[in-house]
Amino acid sequence: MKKKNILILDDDKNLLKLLKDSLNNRYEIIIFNSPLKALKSINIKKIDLFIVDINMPEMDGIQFIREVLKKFPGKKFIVITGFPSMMYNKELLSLGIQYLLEKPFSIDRLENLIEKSLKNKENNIAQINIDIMTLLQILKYSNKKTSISIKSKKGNGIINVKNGFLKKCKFGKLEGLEALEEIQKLDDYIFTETPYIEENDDVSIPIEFGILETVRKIDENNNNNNSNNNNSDTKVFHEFFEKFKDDLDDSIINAELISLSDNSSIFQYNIDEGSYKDFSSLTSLINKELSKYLDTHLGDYYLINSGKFIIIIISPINNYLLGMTIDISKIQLGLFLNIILPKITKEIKIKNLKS
Amino acid sequence: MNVKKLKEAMELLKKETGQGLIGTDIYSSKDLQPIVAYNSSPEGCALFGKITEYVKKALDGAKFPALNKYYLLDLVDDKALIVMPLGEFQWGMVIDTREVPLGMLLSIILPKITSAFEEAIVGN
Repeated sequence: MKKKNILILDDDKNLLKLLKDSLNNRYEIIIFNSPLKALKSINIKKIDLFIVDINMPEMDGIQFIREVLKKFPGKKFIVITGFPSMMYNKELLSLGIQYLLEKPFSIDRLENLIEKSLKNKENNIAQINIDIMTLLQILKYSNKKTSISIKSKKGNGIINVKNGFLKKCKFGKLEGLEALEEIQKLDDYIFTETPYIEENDDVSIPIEFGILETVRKIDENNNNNNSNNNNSDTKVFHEFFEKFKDDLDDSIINAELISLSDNSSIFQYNIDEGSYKDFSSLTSLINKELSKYLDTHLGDYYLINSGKFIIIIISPINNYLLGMTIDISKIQLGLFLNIILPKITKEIKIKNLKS
Repeated sequence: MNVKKLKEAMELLKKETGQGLIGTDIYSSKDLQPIVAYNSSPEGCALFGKITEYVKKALDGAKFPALNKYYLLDLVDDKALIVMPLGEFQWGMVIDTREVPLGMLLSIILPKITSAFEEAIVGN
């Protein structure tokens, strides 16, 4: 079988040589480091696939693609770039480019895209290497009418887009924004362009509103989950606190548990909410300096003597910080440091508070 | 300030902590310049000085009582860093807590050396 002709265009001569050496066995590889020379020297008609870098000095890759498409509209391209941007994505999409590959990339990944591209007979946006929300962000600026089919292990879906509006959105049994929310949560999926069937349209939502609304809902759900975790931690901590309060007798003045993820107060004993908040940034600063100067970091706690009180910050309890103030005139310091404090830190670790 | 007494205070710490003393510095709070040191470096003084400032600011910001006699950081690998501020000077040290139990350090050794430190700072 005759080898397919692939033209690779990049101003990096070393990369060109590497790609030629790696791909020459399977394909007829022609390399150029100048788009102008390539346009003058080759018979474009005979090229089956172009692999084009975007950033080149004398003519950028997008301009080169336009020149080729002017004469041969059906030609296929893989675009490679070290600087992917929304602006490029939008432009490439308007040109109908199939594949965008970010540098650095592996030869296997490129070979995979070459095979897909050569097999793909449709000139569409099939499997462009961007996520679906980025694609929607691009489509919101275009007057394009397109239908996107989504396939994933969790189910299949379809999104119709017309003139910057979502006209249909379906995922499994879900429809509208609920479907878009599920699609946005997907990790592993592929999407392809399919013929647009207008009669299937059942909603009319501006794309921008759809994206913002689903992002807001996902954030809201995440916050609710965090809040549920915090509530269960508060209960666990309450039970635990009652136990160690007995060991400390009346020497404990106050205590507070702070969540380090959002610096919120989870539990307070005898103190205003948020009183120990500043200690979370102090803990980070101390660790930063210890790492810089001594190549070490905090163990389980630190304590600060402030007259008849000591303030103890127990820091390495997952995502939490426990602050306490102890009256050292009411407890033997040795007893507290050698027996009670290790017991508290050990038990907190065993409780394994979830973040 | 009596440098001879300061050195004596340092010797007292060495005697009390024995093998447990990893390094120590007595330095000026103003420019973090070491005055008396054992097994340490200017970087050690910079570290102690910076952390002292952070601790003071955190206590102030949180409206807690001010830093008094010392603060102690429990470090990984059975070590502890202790800093005692006294007027224009600070005394920082790193201790091996396998050699020196913390209770003994805070309840017995620290009060002893604090007295010697105070005497050296105010003495002539």
